[in-house]
Amino acid sequence: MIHETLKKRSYVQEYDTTADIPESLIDLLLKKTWEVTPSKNNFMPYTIHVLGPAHKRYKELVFLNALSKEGVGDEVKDPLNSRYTSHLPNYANILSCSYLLIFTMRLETDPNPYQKFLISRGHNYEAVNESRLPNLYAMASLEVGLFTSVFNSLLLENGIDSSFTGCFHRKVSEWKDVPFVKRMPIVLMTVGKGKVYLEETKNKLQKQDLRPNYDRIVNFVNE
Amino acid sequence: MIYETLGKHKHVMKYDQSAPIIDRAVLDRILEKTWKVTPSKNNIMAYNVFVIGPEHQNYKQAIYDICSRNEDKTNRRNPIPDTDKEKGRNPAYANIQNCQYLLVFTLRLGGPLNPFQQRQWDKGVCYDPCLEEGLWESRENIAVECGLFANTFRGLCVEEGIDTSFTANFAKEVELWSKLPFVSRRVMLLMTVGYAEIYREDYKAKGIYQGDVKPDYDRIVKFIVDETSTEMV
Repeated sequence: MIHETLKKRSYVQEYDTTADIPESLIDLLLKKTWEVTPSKNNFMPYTIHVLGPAHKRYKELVFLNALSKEGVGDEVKDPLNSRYTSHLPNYANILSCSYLLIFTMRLETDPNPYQKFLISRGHNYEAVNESRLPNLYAMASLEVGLFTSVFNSLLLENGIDSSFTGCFHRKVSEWKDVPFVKRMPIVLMTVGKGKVYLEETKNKLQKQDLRPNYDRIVNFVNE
Repeated sequence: MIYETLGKHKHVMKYDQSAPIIDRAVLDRILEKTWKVTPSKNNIMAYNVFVIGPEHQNYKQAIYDICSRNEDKTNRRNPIPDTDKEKGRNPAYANIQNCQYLLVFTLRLGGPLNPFQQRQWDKGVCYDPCLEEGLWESRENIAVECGLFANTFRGLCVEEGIDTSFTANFAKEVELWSKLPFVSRRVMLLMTVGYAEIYREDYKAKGIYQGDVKPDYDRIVKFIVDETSTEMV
């Protein structure tokens, strides 16, 4: 069942801006995701900032952030005008999505009773330590992957599309126009009803853009 | 349906060593299904999943020791002496020693490029995970992807009645993994597979782990209400 559901996933290039997805449904699916997503020592060291349909300005700012990151990464001064004269980048779906989720790091300021008990017995947790929290970035990112995988599946079951963007500035100083991003961002997730899917727009060469073979990723250890 | 399926997942404290061994072909099939439906930025999939089978108890023990030493190292930062170490631990990652299969996710240098990626590269596009330095700088993106893969695998295992658990307490330095000849890049995640004998929930029923709940939903998910929202979280 899960496999059949996930097979339906397709990267969205442009969302249908007329789609009406109630906030209550997004809230419900996020709550269900929160319930069934595990976390190391139950810290969940991340926050999910949800921008609804009304937040066009923030979405524009996040899109510009991604564009700037692409320019810096590839040493291209003006990627929009030099690279995207005939089409927009894939992450332009940020502009048309109904909901944009920004995952950022989170410091735990109120550990649960069991965590407090363990700390009193000599255990040490980066999730509660401001100066050591950045060391948790990779693990928090992995947990966000767990969370988004569940959320993506629940959205698909409800006929809603989602896509990921990993192209954005990591430094918080690059996010000062988006005031609630106070800690390192982890991933961007767009949500809505797809209008144009990447698969539909691929030319012959783009159709050869296949993932590495299974045997190059999964290795049964024989030695 | 997926919510109900994943709701059945529970952390395993100890795997049943008398249970029948899961056929390697079954695991291979589940992993291949996972590979098929897990997205990756630019289709690079810059990670490996090494599968350590039932015959490799030596590797499992070596990894358990790495985890245990890592816990020692971490807890030494707390000025309070580690009482549980002195009394004898029963850590959540002890399941590494009795699982049937252990999955070790590591970074993988991307490439060779597929025809489309090659054309893009020739036009000046850079795929960071295909360069040593870029791979390291991309490790958080790759961690997200490992999470996507691991969660799908977890769900497919639940559907087959197979238990899995995650371990994130391990040394990050590759040189500390020298007993595992196939680990040449940073480890991202450990995942155990088998049939459970004892779940963490079973301990909870006995009063252990009381009060160990995840942070409330409202502390994790924030709907941004207005453009002046600046809450520090």
